[in-house]
Amino acid sequence: MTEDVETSSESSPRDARLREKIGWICQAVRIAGVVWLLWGIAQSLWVWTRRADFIDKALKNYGIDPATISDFNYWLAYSPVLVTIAFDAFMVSRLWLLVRGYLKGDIFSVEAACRLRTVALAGFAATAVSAIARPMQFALMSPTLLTRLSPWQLILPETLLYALICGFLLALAAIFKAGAEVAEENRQFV
Amino acid sequence: MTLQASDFSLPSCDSRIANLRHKIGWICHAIRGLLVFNVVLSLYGLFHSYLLRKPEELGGIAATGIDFSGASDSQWNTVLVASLALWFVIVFTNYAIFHVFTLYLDGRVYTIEAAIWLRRAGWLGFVTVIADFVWRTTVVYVLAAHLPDSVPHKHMFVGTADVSHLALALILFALGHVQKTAAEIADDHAQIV
Repeated sequence: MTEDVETSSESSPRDARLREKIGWICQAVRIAGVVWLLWGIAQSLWVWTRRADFIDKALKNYGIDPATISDFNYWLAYSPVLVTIAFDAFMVSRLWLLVRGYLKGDIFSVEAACRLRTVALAGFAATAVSAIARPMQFALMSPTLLTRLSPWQLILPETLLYALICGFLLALAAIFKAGAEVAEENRQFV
Repeated sequence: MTLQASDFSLPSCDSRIANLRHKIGWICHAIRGLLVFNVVLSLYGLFHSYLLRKPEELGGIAATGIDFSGASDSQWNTVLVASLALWFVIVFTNYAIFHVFTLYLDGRVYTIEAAIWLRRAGWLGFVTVIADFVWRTTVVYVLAAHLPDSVPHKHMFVGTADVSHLALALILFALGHVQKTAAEIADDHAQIV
């Protein structure tokens, strides 16, 4: 979040109306992004530090003896979660930067469109890492568990949803960028 | 360089629009394909869990740790009805997004219609988040109806996924507003020209 966002000095009534309309949404998105990240970290710590409860819940449905899970395997299985959190944090920081730009009035610019594209790409990366990390966790904990789960328990429907939304944002970024470039050309021409 | 909304106008820029369509065409097709896949997969998933009586395949239900194995057929039938109701909400949301990309593929990128459909997709996403929470709560209560009240965790939680889904819906809603303003400006400019 070190990248600086230029603040627009002049503002048309239409700009002001738009900022008024999306102001609360931008604030809500910022709060939701941070809450989501912190909640995810807290939840993973809560779940993984309660080992007996976690293993009981996670393994009893699949006929695996919890005694076969060693301490080493258990904590090794937690490492993909940490990588996922790091990618999630990066994505939230890019989202924060985008929204901060919108709140400052930097909406119809090439830079704003590029920031939206960065959010989409960071989202893609976080989704891909999360999709790989999930089966990896099960494999590191107990390879047998991996074979007993349905495909959609390994690759969650959420993964598909996140990939879809990231694609959506990527397309919108391309649209906004093309529009901003045309506007910039017109401005230079005038 | 920061532009004002009043600078954002789109004159006859057919080549640029064609270039943009070429650039985002594959994304539009991929997203439309994913949307159809998502709708079919969710329908398959809910029928799979229903027919095999696997509550752990229903989103987040396994986290309750409740043993639902004694649930009767009528309880499962109620779950199926609730799941189908949620599925229809998902279909509506997916259709709204699908329609946005159909408009983009038709070249109606900078139009008010496309912006309104984008905003609609955001609202429907918001509705889906609420519907999903209601559905999960219903499923837990219905499948645990035969169990004593003393069973722990006989309720549903708001999860991290709900917060992220909410944020995504709000982003789409905000971008819908942004695109609508851009389309209005482009429209004004076209009338002047």
